[in-house]
Amino acid sequence: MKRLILSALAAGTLIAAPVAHLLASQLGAKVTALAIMKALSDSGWTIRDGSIDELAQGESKVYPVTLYYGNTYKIVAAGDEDAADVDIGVYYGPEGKFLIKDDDNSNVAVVTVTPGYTDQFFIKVVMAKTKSAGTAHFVVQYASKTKSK
Amino acid sequence: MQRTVPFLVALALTAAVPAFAANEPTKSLTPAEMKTDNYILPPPEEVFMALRGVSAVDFTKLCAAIAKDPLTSKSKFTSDGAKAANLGMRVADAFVAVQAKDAIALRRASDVIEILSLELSADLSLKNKIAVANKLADEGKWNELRTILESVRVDVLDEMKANKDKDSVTLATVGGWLRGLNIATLALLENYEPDSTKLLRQPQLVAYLKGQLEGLGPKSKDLPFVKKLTGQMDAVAKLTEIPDGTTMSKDDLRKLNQISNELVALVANAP
Repeated sequence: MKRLILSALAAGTLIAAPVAHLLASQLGAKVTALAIMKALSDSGWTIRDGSIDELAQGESKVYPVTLYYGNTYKIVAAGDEDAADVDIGVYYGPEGKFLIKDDDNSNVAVVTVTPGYTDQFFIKVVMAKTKSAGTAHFVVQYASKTKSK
Repeated sequence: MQRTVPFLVALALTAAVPAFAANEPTKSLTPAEMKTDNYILPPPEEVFMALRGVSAVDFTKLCAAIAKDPLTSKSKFTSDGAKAANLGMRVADAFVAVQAKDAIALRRASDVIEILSLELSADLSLKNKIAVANKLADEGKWNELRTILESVRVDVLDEMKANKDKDSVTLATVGGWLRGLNIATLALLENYEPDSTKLLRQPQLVAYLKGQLEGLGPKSKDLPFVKKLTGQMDAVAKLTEIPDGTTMSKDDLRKLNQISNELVALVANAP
């Protein structure tokens, strides 16, 4: 999907207006995520593949992920140009207990997690506010680093 | 909360409504929220990076152990299922080579990766990426190499998804996970420290992967190694269930290593 979007744009393909908007919006989220991931990569973090998705204002989506004891993680959600406020909450274990959140008024959210055990965590991305009160795209992605002993 | 790129934060609007209600921080997720198929699966490299964080692991020794096994160089398989599962395992081996900074071990793994990934995905750009990976290894540029290797892994999976080959995606993923578990248990056994075994807790991940195996198409599901693998997932889940405040005993660690040894051998010996 990633490759298709980028190659279509690079080739200057004619795209119908709604599709063009969709692609531009996805691209916006990717550009924002890329800037954050580049900064993390430059600081020695290993970047993992992410997921791109769309939510309406006020909606949320949950992503289970296994995080390993021995690593530290930066979990990022980056909104597109239509996203005004994107938040993250991280939960863990079979009961989905709350761990940490970033719910400030920004279209990017970043949290740091250092697991005490390898476990299943849940990343909840909330599209708190969009500029048009409609939908917006976001990328959810994480980076990892070996924990200092 | 930690901010990474302040300039991006500065662009944020200030009039947003709060996303989490005032009392929500301590609220757990609802069962409905946790029941989702959006799993972000850990790549094999994650477990090797974590090993470094919990134990003094000799990756050179692990590479030598991998090299001793002739099955790790096997690239001829008749079924796509066996090709995919072995591809996943060899990608994991390549990441062990990266941790050990062993260019010869990397080439051994990447030769098999190239053959199997081209047979499964027919994406010729992978050939170039693998050539770049080997060159970077020869030049000792290990950090850049990790990125290339991870992109090879993701590209192969993407290509399989694009070809609607869901079974190969599942089996490559399970193969990578299984090899990671196998190498992690071997490394932790060689230098047993109870605290380090906290790294192995993963019953939910095992349950998820078991569900994926059970969802395979009949052709893949009937492969003998898949049947055996699916049948052992409950035992693996039980062994990796480590309650809070406890660790895995050496006996259980040995059992887990033994199960993973048998399964890895079964996958590698598949016709």
